[in-house]
Amino acid sequence: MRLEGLRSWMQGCIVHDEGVEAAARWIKPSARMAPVERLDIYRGMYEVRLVEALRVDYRALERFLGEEIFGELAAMYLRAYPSRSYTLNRLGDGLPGFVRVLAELELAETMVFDGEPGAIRVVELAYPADVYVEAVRGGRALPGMRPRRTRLAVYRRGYAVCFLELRARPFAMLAGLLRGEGLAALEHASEAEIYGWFREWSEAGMEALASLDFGGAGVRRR
Amino acid sequence: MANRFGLPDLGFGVGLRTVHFPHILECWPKVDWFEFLSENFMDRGGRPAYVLDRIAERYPVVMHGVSMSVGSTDPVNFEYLGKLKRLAARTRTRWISDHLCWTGVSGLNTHDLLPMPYTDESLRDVAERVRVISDCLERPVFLENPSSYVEFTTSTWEEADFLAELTSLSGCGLLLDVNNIYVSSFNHGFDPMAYLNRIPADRVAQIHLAGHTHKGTHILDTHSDHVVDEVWRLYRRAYERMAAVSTLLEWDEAVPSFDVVHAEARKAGLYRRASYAA
Repeated sequence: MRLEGLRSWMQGCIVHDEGVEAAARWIKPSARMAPVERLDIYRGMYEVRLVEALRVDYRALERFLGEEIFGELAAMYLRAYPSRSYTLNRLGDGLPGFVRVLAELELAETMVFDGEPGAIRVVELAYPADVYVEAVRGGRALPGMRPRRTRLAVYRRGYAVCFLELRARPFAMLAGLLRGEGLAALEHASEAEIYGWFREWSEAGMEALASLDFGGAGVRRR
Repeated sequence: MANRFGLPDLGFGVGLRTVHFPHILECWPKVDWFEFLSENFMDRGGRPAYVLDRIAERYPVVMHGVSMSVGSTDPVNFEYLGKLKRLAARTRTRWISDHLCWTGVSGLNTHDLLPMPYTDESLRDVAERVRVISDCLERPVFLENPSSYVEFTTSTWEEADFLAELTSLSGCGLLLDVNNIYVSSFNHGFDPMAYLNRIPADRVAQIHLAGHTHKGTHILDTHSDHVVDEVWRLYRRAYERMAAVSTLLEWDEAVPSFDVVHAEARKAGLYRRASYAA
């Protein structure tokens, strides 16, 4: 393996929990420790050290949330936004935005839940926070996340609130329709595209379609 | 033996830590010199910069960094080096050091000092990178031997030999951390004294001392305690070989009062005298 490959592998293990199973291939055992145990020293120290740095920068927030919850938030943030700066002083720059994204999605969820049948909202997020929200809903292990522009329709299907990830063009069209732009929202899509998008949305149980004056648009299921 | 860079022996210094700022500003203790962490001051104005400037007016200072990442495969960060250079000029720093390690690739920084594979390829790459960095900084770079917890199956060089060859190829100097030698020798099972004896003595301008945490199966380089006897023995041997070196005590976790840290640094004088007497 060339130099950059070895480094990328080790960094992936430390930052993203990826590739750990290859430890024995690249790391020698010591007299007392297996390769993966030696690698785990770096993996463990990474999170401890950087969460500690965030605690220093966000003392009041930590006090407000409590040590355990802040630690969980900070670890989640670090997985989504690993440091790109030479200084730890910039490590927490994205934490307020990271929290805001999650809060924005949950607010949209609440608005749709409390809305009329067929309520719908669209939100554009810096990372796929819906995956996290759904894991919380289902009581499942919380996933790691990486920044990725994520466009969601948040809509009612019966009394359930659903998330559907949309590609950029159908998202823009649906957002335009919801803003009341009418035909103007459709002008950048072909008839076939609009038909396809609407069919997919309908199959996803998006009841809001019935309240739109005209159609077209589509969705991509995650 | 004097170091080949003509740098002076500054005596026994202490790593500058913010928790000690009030004591230093109030008492101006009789410390030979301070080493400060470059990245803690490169972008900061306000009180940290004020305190550093006052200290640099009164004491010799040396910059020690953690993000030069000479072992990375990413492009050299010239913006970072520019800031380093400006800070060095402002504080009239005597020399600039960092570590033989990499901190990240693909633009990321793990903020850890990650070990390198010791291969012919990495030796060539690091030597070239160090030359570029030294040219940019217009001064030699001093690299610290790392403490590490893994060794790579692809390595074909012993670390001490790799360091020696690197100094020859790149013109860099060495900051010899004798605690790191001890930590790595336990973790990897090599003879620390044999390692020390293979280091080119005239390339060493500074020695680091620190405490560590013994976990039974391995030792962590925590800088969280007093220096252990085995490390003092290595220090004594290092000083026998490297006369014109400055000594610096690091303490980063559970940092005690300044007086305790300073007293630990001054213990080095006892080992030096023992070295002379031997």
